[in-house]
Amino acid sequence: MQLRIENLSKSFKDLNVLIDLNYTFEKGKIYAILGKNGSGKTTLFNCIAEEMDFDKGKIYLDDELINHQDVGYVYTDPMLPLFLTGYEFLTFFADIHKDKGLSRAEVDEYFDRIDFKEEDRHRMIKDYSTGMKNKLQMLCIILTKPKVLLLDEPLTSLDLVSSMNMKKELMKIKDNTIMILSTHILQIAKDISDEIVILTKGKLLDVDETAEDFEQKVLEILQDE
Amino acid sequence: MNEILFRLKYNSILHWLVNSKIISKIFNISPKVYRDYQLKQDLQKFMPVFSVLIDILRHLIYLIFLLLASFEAKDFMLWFTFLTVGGFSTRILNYDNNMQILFQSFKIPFKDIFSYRLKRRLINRISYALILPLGLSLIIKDFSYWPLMVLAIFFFMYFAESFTLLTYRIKKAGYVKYPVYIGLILLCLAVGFLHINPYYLLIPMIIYLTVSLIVIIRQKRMAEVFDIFMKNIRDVDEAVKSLDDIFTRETEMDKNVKADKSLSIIQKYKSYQLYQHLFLSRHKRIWFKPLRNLSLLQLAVYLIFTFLLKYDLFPEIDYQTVIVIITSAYIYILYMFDTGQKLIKSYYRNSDYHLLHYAFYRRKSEIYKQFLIRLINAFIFSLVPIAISLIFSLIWVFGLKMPLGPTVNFFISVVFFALFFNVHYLFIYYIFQPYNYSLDKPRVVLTIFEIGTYLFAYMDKPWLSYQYLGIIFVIILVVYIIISTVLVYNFAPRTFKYRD
Repeated sequence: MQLRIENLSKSFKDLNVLIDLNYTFEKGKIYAILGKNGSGKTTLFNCIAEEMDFDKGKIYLDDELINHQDVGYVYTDPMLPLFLTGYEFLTFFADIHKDKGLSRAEVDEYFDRIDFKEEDRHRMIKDYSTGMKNKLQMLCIILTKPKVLLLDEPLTSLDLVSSMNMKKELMKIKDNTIMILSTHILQIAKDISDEIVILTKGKLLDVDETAEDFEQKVLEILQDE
Repeated sequence: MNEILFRLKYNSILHWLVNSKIISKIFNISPKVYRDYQLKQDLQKFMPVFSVLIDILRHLIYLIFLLLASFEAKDFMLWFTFLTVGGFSTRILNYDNNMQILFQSFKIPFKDIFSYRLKRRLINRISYALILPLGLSLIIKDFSYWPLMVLAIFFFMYFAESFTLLTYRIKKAGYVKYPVYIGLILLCLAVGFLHINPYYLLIPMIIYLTVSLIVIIRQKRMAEVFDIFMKNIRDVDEAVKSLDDIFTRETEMDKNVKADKSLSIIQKYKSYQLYQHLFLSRHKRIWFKPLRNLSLLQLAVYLIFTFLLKYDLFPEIDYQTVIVIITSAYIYILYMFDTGQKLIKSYYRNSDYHLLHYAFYRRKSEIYKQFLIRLINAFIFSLVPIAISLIFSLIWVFGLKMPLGPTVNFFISVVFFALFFNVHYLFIYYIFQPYNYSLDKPRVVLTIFEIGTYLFAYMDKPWLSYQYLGIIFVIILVVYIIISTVLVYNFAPRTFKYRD
């Protein structure tokens, strides 16, 4: 399975964010997109997830044009209905996704996977910390095993243990998913990804992570922008 | 400081020009215009001139306005009253966005800001004192008021600043402020109406000047001036915040929600039924309270009407007219409670905005499923007023000899409007999704529908007495619901989207 981006362009008024961007992402790999603030990482994700119209180009999943139903998108700001408890939301989510093998009988087991304390499960989401909300959101998306998983700044708000657990969860679905995460933290990119790609001047550039002067190269590319 | 202020103003004008689609196209204004630093530097040199020119222009416009309003000598006291109204609180220490930026972001010393604003205000008043009194005197060909007008302009500039300072530390300042405020306005009006020589106003002005100067000079109040400035910044920040809250407060979930029955609810309901049940049970303030109040109001009106019928207090009563009045009142009350719109705003802000970020919630089947559940809920909310109306209609027809025709029309009207006001906004919501997350910039289409509904609720409704109204209402309602449901089924997957 491949996610193929062809000549993708997107601009906001006079600001060209993505310029004839071409790239192919493959299943079984975790890609980390590095870029400065405002380089267009979220714009690229929004285009892939069909949440934003783009000016030019095509995005294919294998030979078909991508459909937003193929994409799981974990946002920087967690998107959860705050009037529910975590348990209620996950139960509702499991009910809706029966077709994907989720079951309300296993809700506690899902929570265990992300190290969510028993008492926290039955608290209102509005009272959760940002990290807890992030974990819950990420868990929901991972459970649906989307063909393409986009993670916008996914691990920055998580503590060390949660971050490790989340990485484990990502690894579990890695083989059947095209996983792309965006970050501006080099260490996260190095830790978790198989390929590091830099978004600069509206285009994606491969960098060799194994090269000795890798960090220096990344810095040079980003500074050059 | 001049440079910062100039750039703030210049950039805000550019921002407006660049974002104005028509102007930016006509004049070919590119967003790159921000980067023309040389032009900024060149223009900045003329900033003091611009400021004075703008002051002069404003005062000339004001003069033209007075000229168009056929200002005469007898209107002088009216002008004086307006000057009094406008001159009651500080202008120099007032909050404005640029001042906050200067003070909080650029850490410009307060004294510099104060002296800058004092100077600007003085220039503004000089321009005003030169243009308006002279202009008016020339127009009315009467120069007798001219010296008093000039004096008054500078007096009220001083009055606004000093009065704020003098009353700042008073615990219940309102007890002093408002009597003085009202007293001064009454004094101005009295002088005008009783044709007293306005120059007598110089007496209280001189007394105030003397007393306030003595008080202010005796107490060193620079720290006080700074406190007032800070308080004004805080007050406006809070006001802006509470203005934002106005749009969202009515959609908030209930306070003190307890999740103790959560597990039993989970066992009882599944999927969207579970979700909707939890939503409604935690937003009772939005639908239950208005429904309860509406029902109580309805009961009270119906009981009074039943009492009048029972004891035949108006033997000559025209039942048709009474029914029209009650139905009109019912429509108006339904509109005032506005439960349908509050509920959809809450659906959006507390639920759909978040879930629409998930792919599953954007599926055609899921949107339609959720819509139908909400539509059924809207029907259920309508059942209470319908049931109350049904019971009373039966009592009136079979117990109190009300004519059948108008009563049937009345009952069908209640059914129609109870359903209409609950489902109408739901349809609009799914077909147009007019809100953004802050609920402060609804789409134009919603505003148009709102104006239509408003006019409908307030306008005279003589057609309510039409004998076949019941049948027409039934047809309209059925057709409306069918068409809207078909539209939602077909178009909502494209239109029902989140907006930030």
